[in-house]
Amino acid sequence: MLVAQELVIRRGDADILRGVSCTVRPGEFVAVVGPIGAGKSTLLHALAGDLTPAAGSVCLDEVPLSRWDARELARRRAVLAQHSPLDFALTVDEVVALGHTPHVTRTSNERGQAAVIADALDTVGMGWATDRAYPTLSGGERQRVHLARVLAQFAVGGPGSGDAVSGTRIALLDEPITVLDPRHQRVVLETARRLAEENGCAVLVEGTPVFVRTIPPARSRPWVTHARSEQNT
Amino acid sequence: MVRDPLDDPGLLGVSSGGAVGAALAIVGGGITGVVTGGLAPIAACAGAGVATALVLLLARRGGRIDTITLLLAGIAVNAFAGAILGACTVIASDTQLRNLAFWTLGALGGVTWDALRWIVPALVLALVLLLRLARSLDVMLLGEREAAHLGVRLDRVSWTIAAAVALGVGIGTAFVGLIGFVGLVVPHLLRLVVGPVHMRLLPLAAVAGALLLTASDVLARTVAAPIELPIGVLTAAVGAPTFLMLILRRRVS
Repeated sequence: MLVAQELVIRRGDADILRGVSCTVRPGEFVAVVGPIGAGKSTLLHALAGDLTPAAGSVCLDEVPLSRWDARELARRRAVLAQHSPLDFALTVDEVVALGHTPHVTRTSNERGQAAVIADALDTVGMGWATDRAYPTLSGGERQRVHLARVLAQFAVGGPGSGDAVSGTRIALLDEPITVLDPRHQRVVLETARRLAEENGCAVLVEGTPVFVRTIPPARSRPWVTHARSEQNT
Repeated sequence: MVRDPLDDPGLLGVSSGGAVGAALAIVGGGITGVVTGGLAPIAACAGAGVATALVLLLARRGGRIDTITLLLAGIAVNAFAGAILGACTVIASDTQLRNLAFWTLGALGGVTWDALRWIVPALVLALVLLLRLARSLDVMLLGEREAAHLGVRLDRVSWTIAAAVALGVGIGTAFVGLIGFVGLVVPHLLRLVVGPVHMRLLPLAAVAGALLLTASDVLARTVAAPIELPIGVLTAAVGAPTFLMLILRRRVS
């Protein structure tokens, strides 16, 4: 369970978020909707632990994010950012493999990792691009590769690797579908929903509420952030 | 670590930091009469370490390293190092002056079998430190924030790299002086061929760099025989135009 309590995020003198409280439970798929500048992305980054709150706290399974071990947290929480600064000529499968890093130990085998990568790429419909150089992809294709990277971050190692994750796992997705065509928007939303169903939860930020209708309604609920986000739930 | 394919220890002032350390050890040692045998390499590592820490601290803004600030900090460190080296040449004796000239131009002639006792362990240690971090370095290609999301402890990794770089560059500078552009051109060209994955790139860059340096040395000794060109002159003469070409290519793409 991810719980934010009376969260205040300040930049300079401005309060970007003021007293935000929210709870995400396992199995939930939550959409944060609101106008530009409402603080949606800021909220997401605060929930990810990127920002240090001026007041209030964010706890994953009752432990404040700042007290989590970085690697252990990485096995529980994945983040898909709006833009990736990646511009090095890694191949697509190398990018996705980086997502699996928190699960790689000395005992993990190559074949198990390859299966995780192939599976993640297939899920987002990028299985054809395994050997392509990442910089040669279009914006929408890159976004899907990064989603596959998030999936690889959630995939536990194969049998015999001794890898297991217990407790709440959470995916935080910042405008994952804005640059996609309708068919792939559906693929991404379905994938996020499946993550939520497999004992995780997903939080998604989106500028327009239109897409909310396309999410299967079961166990999903939209939050609406108001300008300056004084209240959400 | 700085996520810029066109950086090298020479540009960032790390090499000149090492040279200052070595120069101070030579001149200072001469003045105070301290035996300088083992002092110069240690002082060079310390100088390179100080320079590395300085440029990294200056270029860090809210957990991110800003490339422009990094290069400007490198220029400042280089200029300051130049001033100290200049001051050293004024107070140095004739023999010390010859040694200093050697440092600013670079030459492999000073590397004796005895010197390898210092160089080999230091370079092996630096390479091992970097190879242990190869996967973290790969993850950092995604961006610093993304690397943190994937469990990379950025501070620990950054300072380990800085230490390895200071060690490698410092010890190198202590024995062969300032030889520019090898560290810039070799990894960059190699990255175009084998890709940016560090487990492949780092060892290959070490080998390719050594090959290029040896070839340059042979060339430097023979091209104008019987005069022996300083190798730093040769690598700069070839490296600077190559560097320009790489910059222009990048602007096109």
